[in-house]
Amino acid sequence: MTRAKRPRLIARTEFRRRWRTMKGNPMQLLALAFAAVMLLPFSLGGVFGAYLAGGFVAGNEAEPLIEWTRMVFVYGWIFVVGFGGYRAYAVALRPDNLDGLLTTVSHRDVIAGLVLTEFVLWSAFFLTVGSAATVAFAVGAGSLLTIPALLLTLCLLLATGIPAGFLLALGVRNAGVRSRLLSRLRTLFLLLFGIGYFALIFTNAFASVLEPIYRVLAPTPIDWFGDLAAIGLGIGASPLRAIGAVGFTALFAVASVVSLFRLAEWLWYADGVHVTHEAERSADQSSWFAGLSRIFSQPVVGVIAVDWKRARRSPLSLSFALYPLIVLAGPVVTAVQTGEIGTSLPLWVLISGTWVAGSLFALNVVGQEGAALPITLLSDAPERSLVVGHVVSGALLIAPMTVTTTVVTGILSPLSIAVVVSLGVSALVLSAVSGAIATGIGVGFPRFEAVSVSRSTKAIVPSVFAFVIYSVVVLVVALPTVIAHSGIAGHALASFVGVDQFVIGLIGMVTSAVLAGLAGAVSMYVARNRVSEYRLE
Amino acid sequence: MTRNSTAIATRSLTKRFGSESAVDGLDLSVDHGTVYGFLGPNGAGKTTTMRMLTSLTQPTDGQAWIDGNPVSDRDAIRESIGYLPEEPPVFDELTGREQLEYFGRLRDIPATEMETRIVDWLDRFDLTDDADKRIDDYSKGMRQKIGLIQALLHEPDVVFLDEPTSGLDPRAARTVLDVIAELTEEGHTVFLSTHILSVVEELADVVGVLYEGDLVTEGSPAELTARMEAEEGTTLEDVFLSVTAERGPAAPRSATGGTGDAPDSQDEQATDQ
Repeated sequence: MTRAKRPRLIARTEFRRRWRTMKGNPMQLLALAFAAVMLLPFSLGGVFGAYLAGGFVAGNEAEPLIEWTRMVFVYGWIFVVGFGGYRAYAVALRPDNLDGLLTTVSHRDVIAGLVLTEFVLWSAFFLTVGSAATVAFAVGAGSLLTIPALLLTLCLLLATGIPAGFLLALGVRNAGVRSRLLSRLRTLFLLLFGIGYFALIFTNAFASVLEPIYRVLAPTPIDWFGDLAAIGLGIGASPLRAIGAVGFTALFAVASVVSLFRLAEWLWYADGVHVTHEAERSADQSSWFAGLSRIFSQPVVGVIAVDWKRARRSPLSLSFALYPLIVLAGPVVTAVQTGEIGTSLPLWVLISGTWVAGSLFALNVVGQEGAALPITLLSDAPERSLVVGHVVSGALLIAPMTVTTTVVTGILSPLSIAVVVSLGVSALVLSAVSGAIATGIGVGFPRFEAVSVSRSTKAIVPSVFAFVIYSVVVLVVALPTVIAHSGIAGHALASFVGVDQFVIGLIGMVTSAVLAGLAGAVSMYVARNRVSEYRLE
Repeated sequence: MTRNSTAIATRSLTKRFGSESAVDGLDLSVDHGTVYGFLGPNGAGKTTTMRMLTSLTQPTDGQAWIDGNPVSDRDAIRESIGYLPEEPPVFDELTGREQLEYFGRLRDIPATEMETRIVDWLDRFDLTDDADKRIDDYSKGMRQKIGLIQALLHEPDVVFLDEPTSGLDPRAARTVLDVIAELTEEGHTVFLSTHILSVVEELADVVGVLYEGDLVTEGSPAELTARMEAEEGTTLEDVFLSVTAERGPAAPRSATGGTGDAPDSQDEQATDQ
């Protein structure tokens, strides 16, 4: 077998495996279909935009256009490197069955196969939409010579951008496996990266990050791609720079192949730092747990202790519970940008905190036991320890934070103190009871199998059905208090009835509390019955 | 490739992770056409040794050769070896047949030859009817069998097997043992790590016991049991328990003549075999 055939075989098998994984996962298929539906109008719009741009170029002065073209391709390159690097880091560089591959073929074949896989994936989109846009642009510009020039530029962009992304990702991974500090703080770094990424999206501050990168790249041969693309358009493209772009790509390809081989070898044959996870033995003998033991039975305290230990030692496995916090992003960004806290922020905090408190531990009380389920079910009164324990562990952990944050943001908002107090009581009641609401829904729609919560972490998380039903119930239960405390609706209701808004808030709080109590009691009753009668199938 | 008289050789092979020593100055010599039984309690350094010998991990110190090629020469090593790690290296999304064809192609086995071998092996391991099912539908034993076939498909000179009978039913385990015996008859060398001492007792020409990175004793099963104080019915299990206990908290009996020898003298005895 020639050297080129092995990477092709590895890439082909990767495609087959990925397709089969996707075929077997309705959620992934749905996401793919959604992405396709979302991309279609953008793609068609892009093609039409290319046609208009072609027409614009044909009838305009040359000087600024070549600068714009260069800039577009530099930003395009940054995009390919950024997303290519992310995919390489998250997906490609930790192939399954690596030992099997490395004892069969060389690391050079493996990395070449992985880069080829990504290259074909990107090409499938770039070269189909890109070809259509190229033709549309050429027709608009009335210059057929543009077609091969633009297509060649797109190919060169991918041929340099994807390896560059891999090199970046390999650099990060190599640093990660060798640095004890990076290994230990990996979750924190990823969290900060995620927060930074979303902060950029919500604050529309991408330009402030991309612009310095652009300024670094503009004097480099990356800037020459624009000249190659614009050759034949008559907008001042330099033929020398265009030829230079081709030459640069060839040199870059050679250099990146050598570097990719070396960095992949360093990564895959590295010993890596070994971070031990030593835990203190006295955690559940602390005065805190002693205090809990006076209130709850020993099995319940045991469940609480295990929930908290698992949360502390593997926070990534509970990352699903942070999804609702996304709804907080908008109001928080608005508050930061305006320097003022509106009346809606405390309400968003209340809803999010309530949601998290219930879903964290109580939304899959049977399934999350995992391999320990048979033993748990054989323990003394598991229905009491599991159901009560998971409800209490979430409430004790999240309710204080929810109440504090709700009250603090409420005080800083234009809401009156009386309204803030009733809002705080609502936050306390709802975040304390939401776990009880979750239990019955969770046992009705349990999930037993672990799913990937990150590339390296698998965890048993609640099922999608449980998530959806729980979210709807929590929203319905919280609705009266949210409406009663909202600036507009609450005020309108108070004016309509002719009472102070505090009274409306009080009524909303009591209504939500009664609803939550009823829903929680029924749900817990169902959960306890299901757990006590649960049989392994 | 010229065939070296020794299939596996190591000299002062050492692996340290930070300040911890996983394998400490290992000296081994395994002849062609033999089965080397590699024993040791959990965490003794067996897997680390195997990973060094298969070129997956770089030794911190010392040297090792497979078929005369240094393990640093990965391209040469890959040609000579087949490896079944403790966790079978299979892709869940592929069928059993596709998995074997994939690795057969990567090994550059001619297509018709590969097809014949795959059909033979599948038949031998009773997998013919399941060959076109996806591996994620396989039982643990079936995955193990596919992993083993994959390690043997290219007919390597030296085969490293880490717990090859793990998860197999008695009939399948017997097939594996028969295959190992046949491999050695054909001149292949098998480096076998297992906790099932009866397997080693039945198959191994030489047994080495690793304890905390040290090779504490080595010899044929008969020699090792003979070293125990002459007791009727002494088994390899008695030897294993004895030599590992000597290094641990308790020392009930000695495989080195009951003298409670110091580690150095044990190693000397081991290398004398």
